[in-house]
Amino acid sequence: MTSPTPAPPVPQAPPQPGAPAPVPVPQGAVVAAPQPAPSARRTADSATRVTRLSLAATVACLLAALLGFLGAQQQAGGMSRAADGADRVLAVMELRQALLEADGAATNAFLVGGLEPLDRRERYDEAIERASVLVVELSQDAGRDAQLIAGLNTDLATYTSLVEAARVNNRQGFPVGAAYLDQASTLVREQMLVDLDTVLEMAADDAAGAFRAGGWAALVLAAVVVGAVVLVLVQVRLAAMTRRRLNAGLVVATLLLVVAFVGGAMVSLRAAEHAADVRTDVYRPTLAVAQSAVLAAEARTLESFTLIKRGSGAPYEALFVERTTAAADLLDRERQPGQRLSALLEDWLEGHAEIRALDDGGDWEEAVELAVTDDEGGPSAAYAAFAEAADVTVAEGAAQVRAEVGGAGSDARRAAWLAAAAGLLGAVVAWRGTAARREEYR
Amino acid sequence: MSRRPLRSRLALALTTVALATGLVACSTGSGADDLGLAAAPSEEPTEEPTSGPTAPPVECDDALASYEPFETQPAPDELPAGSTMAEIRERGALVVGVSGDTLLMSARNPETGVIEGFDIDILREISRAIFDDPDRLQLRVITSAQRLEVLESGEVDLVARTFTITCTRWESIAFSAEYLHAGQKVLVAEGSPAQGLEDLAGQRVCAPQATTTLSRLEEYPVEAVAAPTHSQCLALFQQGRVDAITGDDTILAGFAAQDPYAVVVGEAISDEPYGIGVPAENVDMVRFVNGVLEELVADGTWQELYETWLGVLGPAPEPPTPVYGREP
Repeated sequence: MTSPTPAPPVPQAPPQPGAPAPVPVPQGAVVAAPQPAPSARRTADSATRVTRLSLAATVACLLAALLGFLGAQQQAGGMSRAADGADRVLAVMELRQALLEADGAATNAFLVGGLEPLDRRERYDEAIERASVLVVELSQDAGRDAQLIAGLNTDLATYTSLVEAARVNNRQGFPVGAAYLDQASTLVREQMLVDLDTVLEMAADDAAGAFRAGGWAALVLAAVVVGAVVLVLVQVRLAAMTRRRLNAGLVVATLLLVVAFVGGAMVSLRAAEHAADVRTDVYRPTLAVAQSAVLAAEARTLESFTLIKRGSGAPYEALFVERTTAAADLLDRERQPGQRLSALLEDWLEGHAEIRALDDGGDWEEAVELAVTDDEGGPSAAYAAFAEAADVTVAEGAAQVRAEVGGAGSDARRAAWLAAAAGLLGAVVAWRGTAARREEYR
Repeated sequence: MSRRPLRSRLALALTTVALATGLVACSTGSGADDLGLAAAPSEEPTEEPTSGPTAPPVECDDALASYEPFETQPAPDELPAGSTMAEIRERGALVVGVSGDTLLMSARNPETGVIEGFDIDILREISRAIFDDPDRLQLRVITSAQRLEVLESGEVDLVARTFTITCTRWESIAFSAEYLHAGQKVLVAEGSPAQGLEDLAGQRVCAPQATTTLSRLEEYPVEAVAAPTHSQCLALFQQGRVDAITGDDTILAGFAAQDPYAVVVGEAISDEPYGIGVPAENVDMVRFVNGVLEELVADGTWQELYETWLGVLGPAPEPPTPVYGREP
């Protein structure tokens, strides 16, 4: 439905028997025909019909304006909520990773023994600080997850105090420090991460709902197209009645709706498509990378636990394999950033395999030494390289999602105003353009 | 112009709209779809499974009776061919199950990362007897609850982990002769009037899972709290989540050493003869270990080790008298 004037009237309407030839006459000429009663009734009928037709044209334009505006505004609102939602999803993942990094640094430091190495302490402090900031951020625009986030806040305080207790005891050479560390880690794994999973699901659902606002583009399209169709039909009817082929006002109104179609409905439609593309091509891959980073961070603490449990760590190793396999699968699914990250993950897993080989071969001390070394080419460095690269990819992806979905939202908002303006103007022009016809039949 | 074509024109227009609408509705899917969740429930590792509740004590003539040592204890380079000891020597390491957090008996020194204590030193002597080198130990840290299963599966050669000799346990594994005598006591906060479990009616008393210590709590009117490890009990005690800890005096002495506000009170309410656990089929290993233990007592090493690690309990008592006479 693109042709603006699919108007039927052929240049020369076939002359109808008994009817006066369609001579272009000045206004009012038809009415002037001095005909008696039946003709008068017909004139009255015609007057009503002309009024109805012009009303229909005007209302169609108004509706196109109103529905087009509302639809595109809804869409724009959805897009900005989608951008916020995507940010929130990534923030939840970042919190998850910060917690796991803190726990990983704490357990790894424990493995080192003796006075805690300063850089590990710093890494722990930095991760905890990041986690606190994120909890506060998440709580600021918390909705149905408010209670969970409040709980996480409390848990985070408990966690840090447990790690402090572990540290203080450790420094005095008391094995009970290990028990505190165990409690701390259990809190993270069995309480905080589980709560975060729920928060994550809620955030992801909210974002998904916002992304679906692209569907409003359909309303914009329908409103404008239906408006244009009505206008065309009105013109056809009017032309048949008045023997005039074109009505300037209606033609302009139709053209305005065509403008609304191109600048409003099509833009809105393209914005929706764009947002949908961003969702599949950027948002999901970014989530996949973020998730694989989270899984890897968890696996890293599991690696430390496998060693801390010294010979009884088999269940932890099984979980390590499970987590890292899932991480690798996620990366494999996303071709673009995935390949480079897959290679980095692979490097780290090779280092881990060496640690396991040493430990399983009975050389626990060597295994620990390899696990805690920060040497270049060591497993810790390989893990750090992967985590860093994943961070960069996620940050880039998040920025891209925000920019592109935000852009789609702006487009939709522009489309809303354009549809409104064109529709309103169309309504005015249509009403005024048919004024003369209404006069004729009065 | 008739009405019919008009109507069909309208229908055509609406069809177009419907088609376009179909094109628009392409961004569907839930949050779980975005997360790529196929449904992967994250299960966290639970603490090691406890091997069921302790069975009721089975009558046996004498739990303490072990297998007699060889007439002459074989030297490290003369281990009988085909014996368990020869196999271990061949392998190059003595694999042992120990505790990692029982201060004084077997605990990781946080300064050095090395696991040390009375039990470890006894094992080092056994390593010396096999390899002529005390450092051939391959340590596996296990919980109390794992002691039986690692022996039954043959994952370790020995278990030395505050392991009380009982008839029930003899049903699935073998023990050396008694090498240390402990007794169950109670640890309470300093200033507590309690002098034993009977004074702690209704209070929360912690003990590790799957231990004789925990099962004995049933005889007292206290609220028993099971923890994955004994050290967890101390953490819970310091957090005020339990009122007292019960355990062998050897273990509680280690706790008191870590906490100036904890005291061990009362008389022992049980006899806990410690033995070294051995897989049931390795009778030759039991004989060999018993030979080593006799030598340690004879040359004064046992007393030396006791004073080094357990001096806080008082002067070294007489070493337990070994009982033999069990037939495979």
